[in-house]
Amino acid sequence: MPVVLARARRSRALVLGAALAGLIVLVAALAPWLTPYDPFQMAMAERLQPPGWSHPLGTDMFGRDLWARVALGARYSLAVACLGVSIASAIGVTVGLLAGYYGGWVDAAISRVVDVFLAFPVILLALALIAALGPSPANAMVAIGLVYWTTYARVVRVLVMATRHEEYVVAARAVGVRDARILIRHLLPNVLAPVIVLATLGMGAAIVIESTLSFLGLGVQPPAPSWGWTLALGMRYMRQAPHLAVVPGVAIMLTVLAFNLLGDGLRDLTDARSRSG
Amino acid sequence: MLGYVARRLAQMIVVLLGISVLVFALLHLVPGDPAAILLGQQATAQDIVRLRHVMGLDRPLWDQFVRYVTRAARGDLGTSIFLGGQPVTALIATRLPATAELALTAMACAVAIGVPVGVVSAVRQYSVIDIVGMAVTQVGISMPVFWLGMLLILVFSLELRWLPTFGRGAPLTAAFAALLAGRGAPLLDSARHLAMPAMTLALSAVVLITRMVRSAMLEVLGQDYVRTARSKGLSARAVTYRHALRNAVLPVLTIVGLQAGALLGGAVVTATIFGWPGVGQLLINAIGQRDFPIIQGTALVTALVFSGINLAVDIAYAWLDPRIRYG
Repeated sequence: MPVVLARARRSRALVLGAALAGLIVLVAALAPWLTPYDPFQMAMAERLQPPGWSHPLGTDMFGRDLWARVALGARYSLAVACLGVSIASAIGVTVGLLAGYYGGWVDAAISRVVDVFLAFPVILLALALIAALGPSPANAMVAIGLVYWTTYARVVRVLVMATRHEEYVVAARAVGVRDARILIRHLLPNVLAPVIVLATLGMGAAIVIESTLSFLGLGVQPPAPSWGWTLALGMRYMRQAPHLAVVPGVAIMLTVLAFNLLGDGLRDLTDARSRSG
Repeated sequence: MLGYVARRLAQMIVVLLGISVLVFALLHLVPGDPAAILLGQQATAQDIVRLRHVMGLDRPLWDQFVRYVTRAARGDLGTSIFLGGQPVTALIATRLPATAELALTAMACAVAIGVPVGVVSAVRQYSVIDIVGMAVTQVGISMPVFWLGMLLILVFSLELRWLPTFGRGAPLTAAFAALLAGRGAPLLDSARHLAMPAMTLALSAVVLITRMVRSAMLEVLGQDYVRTARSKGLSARAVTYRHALRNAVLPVLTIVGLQAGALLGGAVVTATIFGWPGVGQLLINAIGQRDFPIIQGTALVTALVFSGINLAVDIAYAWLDPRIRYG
């Protein structure tokens, strides 16, 4: 363990990503206490103010404080992305375990279903699902889950295929351990590390999908302060108030960057461990 | 090679059937009665019954599916509910050239930028160019497509006033024909309209191609045959471009295939920012009105195009690299 921690400290991507992601999670958690302004309180006399002393990131077209809205927006983005990634990994890991362990027609059938989902561009499938289910944060989570489960399924399937003939699995089967128990107690722990790496990298992709859906008015619904919808409104006032088109975008970019760096760092760390051990 | 192509085609048929099931299922994912939801709260019971009949929702599910697939196979994707009953196939067909023009230009830009940057990064590993290049790709991959589009509008349209914010110029084919006839203005107009949407769309492909070419070049530059070429006294330029690059660009094909999906999807979002009159704009408007025949038709056509491109890429890859077809 100390060796792993020492290696983690040496990984610049991991340290930077963890610090940035930690800061963003902290901002999301403490959002109401980080500003004296109510993110929903309109003040038309102060509309479209540029960043300044009283409003560090300026105000929007209704005079609402942009920092208050961006800070609270982090909650919505992180919550939708996190639950979306959880749905994707839950479906993907289950399906991947079954395909990898049973092989044969189960694997063939699951692989074809995966191929069908992969035949759709990610954002297009998410849009089509939202069109059917209706725009809401909950449906955005479901759409993210249904769009990304294939990534987990493919990776877990390959990992399970590589370990299902290991002696400890054969021995467990020989002494009559049930398949469900073998899958959960013996095979699942072996795939958890790569799944955590995928989920961390997936957070970045999920935040982009969430903000894109919200930008198109199909994700988090106003007056909730989503980053995507704030950008969509900012587009209408680009000439008078360019900060509205910049600030939420920077928030999205930094959050995605944080999870990408964290995921890259974790991947390097787990690769190094597997090489040494 | 023929065996490989036949195997991939057989897999493709199964996938096509699966795609049609998923697209067909979209309408049935609508919570409640789709006809009632589509018509809104003011609809009478009679209206709902009539629309259910028009959409075939009063038939058994299997019958609806068989009808949908057989019609789709003949190129009939139904009619729009809100656009005066226009055929969906015609609506998509009139907008497909604009989308293809945007996606192909974006891909050409991505290859033109990504390959040289990747090569230079690899040849000068850990130099300032490499470090800056990799930092830019890391930031680039973290930017949502629509935000990049907004920033480009802010800089190049609103501040510098160089490029138009909205719409499409003359189709590129017509613009090139005009150029051949001695008139350059239409091509310039097309290029000015295309520049920002294409660069916006190209971003993710540029990042992936740069990274892929860099890592492939680094791997190839360490191979024995490259060392042999160097020891024979070949110039660094000849080794890099004649020996290393030729093998390193092969993976770019895979990226082109995979990125085709991102481009087709990204084109939907780009359409809303730049008002590009392609399939994306049709889809976004249809989602706003919940015009399901258009949503289903667009999803089906896009998935077919994406699958077709990936099949073509796989076959091209197998043709270029024999290890795949015999593997």
